[in-house]
Amino acid sequence: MEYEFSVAGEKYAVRVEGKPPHARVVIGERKYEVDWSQVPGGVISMIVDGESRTARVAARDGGLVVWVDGHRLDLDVGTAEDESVGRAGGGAGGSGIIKAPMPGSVVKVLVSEGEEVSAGQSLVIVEAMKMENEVRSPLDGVVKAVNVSAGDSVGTSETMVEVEPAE
Amino acid sequence: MKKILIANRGEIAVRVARACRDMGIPVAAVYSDADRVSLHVLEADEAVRIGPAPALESYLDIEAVIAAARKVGADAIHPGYGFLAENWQFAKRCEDEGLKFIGPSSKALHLVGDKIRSRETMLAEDVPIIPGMLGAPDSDDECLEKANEIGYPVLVKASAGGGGKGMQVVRSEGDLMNAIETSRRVAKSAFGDDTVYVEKLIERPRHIEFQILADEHGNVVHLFERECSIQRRHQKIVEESPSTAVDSDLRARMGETAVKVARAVGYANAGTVEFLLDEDGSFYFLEVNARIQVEHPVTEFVTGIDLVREQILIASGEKLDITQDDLMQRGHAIECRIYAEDPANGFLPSSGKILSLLEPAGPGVRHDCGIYEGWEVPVHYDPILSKLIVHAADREAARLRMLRALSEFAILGIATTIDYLREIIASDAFAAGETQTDFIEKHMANRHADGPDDDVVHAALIAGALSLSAEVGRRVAGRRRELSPWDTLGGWSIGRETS
Repeated sequence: MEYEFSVAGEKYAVRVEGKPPHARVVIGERKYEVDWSQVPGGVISMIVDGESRTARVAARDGGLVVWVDGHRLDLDVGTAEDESVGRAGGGAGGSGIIKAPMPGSVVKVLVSEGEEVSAGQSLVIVEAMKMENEVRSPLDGVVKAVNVSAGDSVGTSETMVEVEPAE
Repeated sequence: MKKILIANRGEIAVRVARACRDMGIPVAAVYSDADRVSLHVLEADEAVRIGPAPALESYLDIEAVIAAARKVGADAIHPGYGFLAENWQFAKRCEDEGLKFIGPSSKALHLVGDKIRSRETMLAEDVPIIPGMLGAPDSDDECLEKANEIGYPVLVKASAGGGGKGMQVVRSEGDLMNAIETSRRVAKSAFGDDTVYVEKLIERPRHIEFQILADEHGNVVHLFERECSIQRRHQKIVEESPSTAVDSDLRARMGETAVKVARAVGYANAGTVEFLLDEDGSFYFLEVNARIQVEHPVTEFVTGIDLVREQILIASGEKLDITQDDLMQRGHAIECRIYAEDPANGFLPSSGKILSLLEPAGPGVRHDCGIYEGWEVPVHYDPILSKLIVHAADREAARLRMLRALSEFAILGIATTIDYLREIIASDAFAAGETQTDFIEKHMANRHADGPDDDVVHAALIAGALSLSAEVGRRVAGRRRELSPWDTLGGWSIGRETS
């Protein structure tokens, strides 16, 4: 089984061979012999080439979050073999699909349909946990749709505003 | 006291409930709709719903809280910190209703809550205050005149303010009027009062505060200092006691001043007198925090005094059974505040389900916690999750113990400040005690330049790949084998919102 992860923008291909509790894990040039066991509660105990490593793994939007011996890392997940484990399509990125950065409530919508906006311009103010956050346009363009209004609760998967990129 | 209603939520409500139960006093919790299954409700003897999720309609609703106290037959209310803790009108309502407010009198609260009035009071008592305006200015021109008199840089501050809201640094006369206008606007929307004033800016100060206990019979003691200089957006994130900048002579002088402040305002109960300590050793009174503070466990560790218990005893009318001579500082304590915030993303608050929680433990470690595994962090309130406090024989031992405890600490499912705090505690500047209030901007601006070591990244990749392979294996087998993380996560697939 081969998995593709990226950590802080860097891509890694990770191959897992063998049957539990033994695994050979290959990351690039490195090969690791691992004795591993999963304990109820999400804990994975791994003895990696003799070193005891304790990890906890949980899902997050776009992949996994792994805690290992006091360090917490976000792993974005892609895949070579199993297409059902796909990468999330969330986030504004370079597209004109504007989502909330976190669940919260809409304080104010600053633009309306048909309005021209420029990159960096504030579109919506979302409040979460007593903090107001301005959600900005990632690009120049025209507002194609506004799907929220003040007072609405929003999750991270809902599209709040669509901006059609300028030609 | 026969029953105490705790008018708060989260870790402080749990902390206060523990003190009550240690004393054999039954506890009633209040909760909003967002907190029905929060830890403070689970831990209480009784619980009363006080309204919908928004704090204004629940935890800040004075009538709802009073009605809850009546309903359960409580004879006292502990307000915790934040929410109604320093609201003199709430304290007054409690007094009128014959409910004991566990805190200072409404009169003392009213006085210390007004920064201009409390400055006037302190000046009359010869307590050093930062050079600046004494009364509310009649006009912006008066601010200008005063700013020119005390010299730049100056701070424009909101009279009713707190948490740095509305505060503006002005380095030259030309920028003053704009700053006043901004400050007024922020103050108006945040506090409903646009009164601002001007004072001298102390550059690179330390934030030193003294814990005091005062009973209703005129006895006042101080429980030494806490240093809370490491702040982000004027919010404390690391606190310690003793301070590396305070020697025994300065400690005695500041402690005496703190006691004088408490007497000057007729203060009873636990409180904190905040000072700014200049690099040249002069100190200035800032304000009185008329409540139990977030960072109180640091003082509890070094003095061995349970401050919440003392609050309850004082409110019961008892005399302090400790004198200043009984008190001493033993060893060193450090606290780290654990917030649901994402340091990699501008400290945006994060919310969501706590998928995994591993609490640090062991000698000298205390975790004041308001969360549990499986619980969903609501979006409506302050993002503090818990506080990690350590105690050891000296500062370096405490620092190493904090590093150890932070490395045992796992919270998955939401972003937290744990790794960020670890970097602070591990830094050379913190180890050297160079903890001025500009610590974060000076020492933490270029964090993540290196990122984690390769072997840590690889270990995480191995764990991630193995957990995915286990999940695939489980599906292929078509039956439940051992429990995998996915079993504990519930319905989940990557790329979809969890339900």
